Amino acid sequence: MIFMYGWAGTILRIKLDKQSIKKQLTPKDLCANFIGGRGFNSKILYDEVRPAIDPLGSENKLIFGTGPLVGTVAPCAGRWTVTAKSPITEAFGDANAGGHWGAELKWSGYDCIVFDGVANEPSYLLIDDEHVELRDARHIWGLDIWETDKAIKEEIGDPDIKIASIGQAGENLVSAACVVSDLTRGAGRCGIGAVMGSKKLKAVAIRGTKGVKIAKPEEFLKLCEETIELVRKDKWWWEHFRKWGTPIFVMLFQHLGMLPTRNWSEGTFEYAEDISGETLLRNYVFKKRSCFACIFHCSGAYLIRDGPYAGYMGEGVEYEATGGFGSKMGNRNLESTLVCKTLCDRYGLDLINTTDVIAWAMESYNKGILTEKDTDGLDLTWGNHENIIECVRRLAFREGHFGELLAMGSRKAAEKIGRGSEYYVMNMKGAQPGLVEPRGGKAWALSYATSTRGGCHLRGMPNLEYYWTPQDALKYLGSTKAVDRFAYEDKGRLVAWVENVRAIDDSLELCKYLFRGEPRVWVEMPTKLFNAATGLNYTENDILKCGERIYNVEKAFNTREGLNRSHDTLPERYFKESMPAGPSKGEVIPRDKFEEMLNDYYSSRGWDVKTGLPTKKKLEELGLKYISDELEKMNKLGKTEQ
Amino acid sequence: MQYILLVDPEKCDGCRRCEMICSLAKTGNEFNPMKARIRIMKKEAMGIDVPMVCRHCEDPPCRKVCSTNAIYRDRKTGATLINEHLCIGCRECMLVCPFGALAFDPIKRVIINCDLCQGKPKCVEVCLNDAIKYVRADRADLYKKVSAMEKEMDAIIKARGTLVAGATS
Repeated sequence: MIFMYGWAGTILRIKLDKQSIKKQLTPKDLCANFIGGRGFNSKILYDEVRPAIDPLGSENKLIFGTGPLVGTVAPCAGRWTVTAKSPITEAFGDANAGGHWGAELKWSGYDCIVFDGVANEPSYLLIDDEHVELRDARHIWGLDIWETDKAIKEEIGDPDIKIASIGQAGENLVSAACVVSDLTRGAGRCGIGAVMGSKKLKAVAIRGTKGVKIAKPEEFLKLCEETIELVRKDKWWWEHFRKWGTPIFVMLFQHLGMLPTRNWSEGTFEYAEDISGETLLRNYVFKKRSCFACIFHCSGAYLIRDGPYAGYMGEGVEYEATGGFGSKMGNRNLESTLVCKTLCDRYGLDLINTTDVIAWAMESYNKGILTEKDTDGLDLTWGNHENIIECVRRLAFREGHFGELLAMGSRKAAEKIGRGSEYYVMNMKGAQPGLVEPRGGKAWALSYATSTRGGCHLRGMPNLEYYWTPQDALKYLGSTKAVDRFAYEDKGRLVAWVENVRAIDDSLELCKYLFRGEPRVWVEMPTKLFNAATGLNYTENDILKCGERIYNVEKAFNTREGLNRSHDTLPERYFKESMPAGPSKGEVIPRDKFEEMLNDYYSSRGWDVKTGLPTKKKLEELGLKYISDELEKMNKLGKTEQ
Repeated sequence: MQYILLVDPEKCDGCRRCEMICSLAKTGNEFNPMKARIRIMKKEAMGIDVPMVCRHCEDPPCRKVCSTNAIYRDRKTGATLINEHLCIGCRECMLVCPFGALAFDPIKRVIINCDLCQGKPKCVEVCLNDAIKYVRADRADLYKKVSAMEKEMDAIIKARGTLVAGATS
């Protein structure tokens, strides 16, 4: 009875090689223990994918999922997660996006779609409520994301059908490839687009008319309003973020000395004003746009009106574009970052992974490690924006030797080049986080190292480190030091807590920009919304337990792949070089302090401090005995502390 | 006194909260855009979002073409309403509506339309951008004139230069 509400109730299973389509009832224990979205996907991936398989082979699975609040009016609950073993990190991988595709999936009556095997010919999936069909995609293979969207809409004869697809980058198995929905909403991280390309799956097009039923409508609406009121209490954020969106972070992090500049070698950019949100809004953004059920509407549609890049248009410009192609590459030409953003959306490239490898190549070039022989003649001096754009193109199409090199991703490319270029690979477990300088915020440093999907700013996103008051931190985390961004104490506790909360956000598919200074919005409101939607009666602790369970499943996946404490680390630079200038000047992460934070983290998590591996006690406490048994058999279980 | 919904596509960002609240209000416990009386149509590539909703015309073409006389005007609010029992689902009204405002309920198999929530439209309440207003039908033009004036005002002040820009009111 209680599982009639919130969830759609069906999981769709597609075997691409056999062209078979099956429907399965969403198991009750999955709903009760893993919430939805990321939680569902992670559990399915752990259970159904064996260790050490090739991420781009037929044994990998590709899982799309949404959560119980998606498709309702719950604030900012319109997201979806796509999960697979990652070709970049060769470990657990997932990616998350907004737009309207997730809601449409939910309305069509499915919580998850699980793809298995490799299609014989390029295909795309069409879902029209109960009608599910694998269709020939040979005629659209080779098209970019925007062309694909148009072609499928015309073919199906539904101008408003929601489509998530890969572009040429995904088809070419580029490690930075992503899945894009609604033209500009990229599920970016972990090279998921390459996994989709390897399965010869071009797109998933959905039309849903079944809606979502919830258990307690009146209470639900009141809670939605209350959440919005709480968020609006932060007047500055409400006004500025609604007006500017994420490009506001350029100046915000510039003032904190945390704006990654020239491949993370500096924390302030002398031309930050040129690429700031204000400049962007004044000259290029002509309309604000929104993801489904959002209350902020942070996306901006932009147009370049004159100059060499005149005519480029797009939407969803954000900090990872203006900062990533801007300060991270020493580039003050804002228009070129917009061009890159448009190209990334069309080719299906993740902004972070793309800028990661290009910034690595630029620093290696500027340090004399890469020469024009390696770059096929491209001059990669900091800020050379024409060639940055050229890099994006060559990367997507694997053009020439340099294109092939960039397509490998920074870690593998540096392994191939050698000559000391490895030092300039600024990532963790093969993936780079979003643009927040970790030396200026110690919890960020720790969360980058411990993230379950490679370096990631969203796995932990410990922004409470500077948004929360010490009083709130004392109440919720039992420590005031935790919210001092230059302190090392109690960061393990903070990161473990916030990672569990983020696992819940991703499983309810809430947008993380909802969560800032007001602690009640972090756990209390999502719990209440979850209860009102599903009719269950979870406490805040029950929900946090679900978050912890999800995190442990992902950790166990990585443990099974052979990852341990030695992988939970940071690039050498953060330990060796102190910030050269700005408000975070002199900050570095001393290795011993980092190891202490890591110890604190593992013990807060109930894992083995020495090896960083999960323990029998913790796994069994979370109801994951079968995982503990499997790890024990593989001799990969940590020792429970006495 | 008749009131209508006045939408401003330039203010709408396309979050579709109005669709959600409308479908919940009309069904009781379901969020479903197919059952909403308002619908945001999008042209993603051009950054366009247009809320489609009944204008409650003074002289509604839908009512003229209804062969079962199922369409009538609400005495209290002046809303153009549909009697579900009389509607035969021929969609003739949908064809003649110049604004694409009418929707077809996929379960009940009849035409559904905005009823102005008996004078308290929910979509207006949830819109965070003021893109939908509930205004007096005979004075709706004034609201449009005010927002057009504000745009002009910006240009005029800009043209005057910084000297007088600081002086307000």
